[in-house]
Amino acid sequence: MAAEDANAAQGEASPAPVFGLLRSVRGRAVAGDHPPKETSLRVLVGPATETQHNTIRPGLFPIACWRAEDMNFEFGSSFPMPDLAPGMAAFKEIFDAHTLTDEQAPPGSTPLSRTPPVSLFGHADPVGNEEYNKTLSGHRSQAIHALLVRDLDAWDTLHTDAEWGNRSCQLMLEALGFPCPRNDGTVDEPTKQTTKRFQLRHGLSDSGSFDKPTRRRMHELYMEYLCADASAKPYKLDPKQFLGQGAAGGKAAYQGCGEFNPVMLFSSREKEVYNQAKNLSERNNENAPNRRVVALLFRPGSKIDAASWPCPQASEKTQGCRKRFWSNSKDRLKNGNERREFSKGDGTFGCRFYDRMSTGSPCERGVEDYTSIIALRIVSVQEQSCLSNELIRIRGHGLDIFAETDDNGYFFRAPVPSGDFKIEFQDVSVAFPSLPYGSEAHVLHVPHSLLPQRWGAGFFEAPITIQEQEGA
Amino acid sequence: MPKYVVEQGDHLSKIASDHGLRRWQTIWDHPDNAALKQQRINPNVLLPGDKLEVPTLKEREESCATAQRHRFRAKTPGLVLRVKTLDCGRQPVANAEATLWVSGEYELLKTDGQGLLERKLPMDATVGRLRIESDSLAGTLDVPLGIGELDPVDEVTGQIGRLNNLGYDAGAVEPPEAALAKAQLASAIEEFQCDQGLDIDGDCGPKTQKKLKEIHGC
Repeated sequence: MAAEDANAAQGEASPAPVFGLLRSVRGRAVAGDHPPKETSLRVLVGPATETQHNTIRPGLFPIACWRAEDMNFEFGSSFPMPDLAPGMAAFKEIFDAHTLTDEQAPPGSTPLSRTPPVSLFGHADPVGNEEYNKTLSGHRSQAIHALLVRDLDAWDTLHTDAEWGNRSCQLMLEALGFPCPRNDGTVDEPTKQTTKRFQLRHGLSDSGSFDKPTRRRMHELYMEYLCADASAKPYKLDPKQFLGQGAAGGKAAYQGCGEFNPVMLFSSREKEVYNQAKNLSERNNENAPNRRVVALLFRPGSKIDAASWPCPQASEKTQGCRKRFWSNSKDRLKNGNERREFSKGDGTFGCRFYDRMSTGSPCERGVEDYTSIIALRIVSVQEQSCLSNELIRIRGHGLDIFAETDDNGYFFRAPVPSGDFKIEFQDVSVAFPSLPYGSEAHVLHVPHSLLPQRWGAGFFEAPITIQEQEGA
Repeated sequence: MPKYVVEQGDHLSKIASDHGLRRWQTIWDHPDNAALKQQRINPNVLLPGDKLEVPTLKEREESCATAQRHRFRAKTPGLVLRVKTLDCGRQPVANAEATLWVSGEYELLKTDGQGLLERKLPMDATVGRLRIESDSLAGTLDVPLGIGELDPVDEVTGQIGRLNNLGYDAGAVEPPEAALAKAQLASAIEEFQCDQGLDIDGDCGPKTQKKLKEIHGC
């Protein structure tokens, strides 16, 4: 707050825009709702004389968002790391939250048309070559798309073309319960032995090398491991559930924005210092918030004409992006006297089309705005079951929230002030702390006897490892 | 007679009706209103503050025989509301069921192949509501209508109103003052210019105004 006042006093920063709220924070991923659009509430029309008319067209604006941070990917690569798994659970939560229920669905709707159409946007930091950045961010959004729809061919191509390398195979083996002693990409004897064990277990020829059939099987199992809900149950989407409804080349379903939409731009002075050879690693760390994949979710039933979708395909060059740039994009992407941040209303996105869709997006606030979160999970003392869909009240530091825990007993809210809060439900009242962003949820243990009803099952009944599933 | 000052929600038919005039042309064609007529062109899209000369009612004598019943029929030109609905992919919402409330009364309508629907309006209509159901609208479109509240296209409020109607989310219908509101309007103008192949400068100049009027339909 104090910092905002200081900025206002300098007369430089514009008032911070209104942001929507986050629904979940899992691992290094967040998901939340966009603020509602107020301008669509009233249509002003002129009565007609002669042949005149008025036109009404609902705009296409996202209702929710999801963001996976850079740390979910191998550095400089589009390979999704095992740590992405909680992030994919956050995706499922926001996706389900905006899927129409039987009562809400219009007559004649199908299961596929009741879900919010998704579009994925990869982003890079402003370091390096523009075309390289567009390609990398495009590959990352494509990797997530392929993960969601289980497109094994796409991952196979990415493995080869985007050079995921042997290290990706070692990391996958580890996640699937076959840890290699080293995971630096060197295929040594222990790695070969581990690979053989994997191959024998899955009925592959035991070559001990990461050959194509082996990779494919690994990709298949690893996708099931990564793309699962909070109770570790794998889920997938149909390509038709994306914006563009499965159009060729992933048009409107996934794209790379390259370095054109950074959430943070260094001051000129910082840029100068960070570009010195000894500071490059620190620069890359500071730039991490800019490297991200964002999913935008639209109103269920929203249809677009994929051919006229402004974003070029992930595989195309930056040329097509420029057509949708702000007329003053150069100024927007310039390093200023002070550090410039999207969350402060500084207008750092060069692409007007993306900027308009991200207005108020809680997923595009800088990570530093989420230093404190409320992440709670209510479980029984024995951790055998959780308290699902329970009405709770959370108070403290000026907040007074009535909410419900989700199916798995979780509740999230961000950003919040750091410090102690109090949660009340039924006749229980417990103090708990807000947590640093990126933490695992704070677990509240409650005696089973205290809460005889409404204990959800699910979560702890299905902590199955992938191998066991395969055996079944 | 003192000049009449236009208020928000006024349109010429309503003003005529309020003054007991059957035809808005009586006001519009008055020589003292010639300058305004040329500036605004559309008599139903006036700006609050516009000044109009409203002619007083003329007496007219008709000679009739006494002790008989006579019928006098006044000719009143129809005022209509014509709305074209597009989906977010800019395709017409054709042959869709619609309900249009005006001044508390509703009429069940159907859009035509071009997404157009039309309904006669009472002369003094100001409020309405339009509800259209169609798969291509992702369910239902249900919006209150401010009849006669659309300002002329050469006014910033008229530009915002049209851009909002066309789905460009240009912001609150008032001259923008805060930096965020200005940026929102500029982005909507630029996006419209981009879609229409105009020069992109974020400024709604004469060319953009002309195009905006053409695309919006009035």
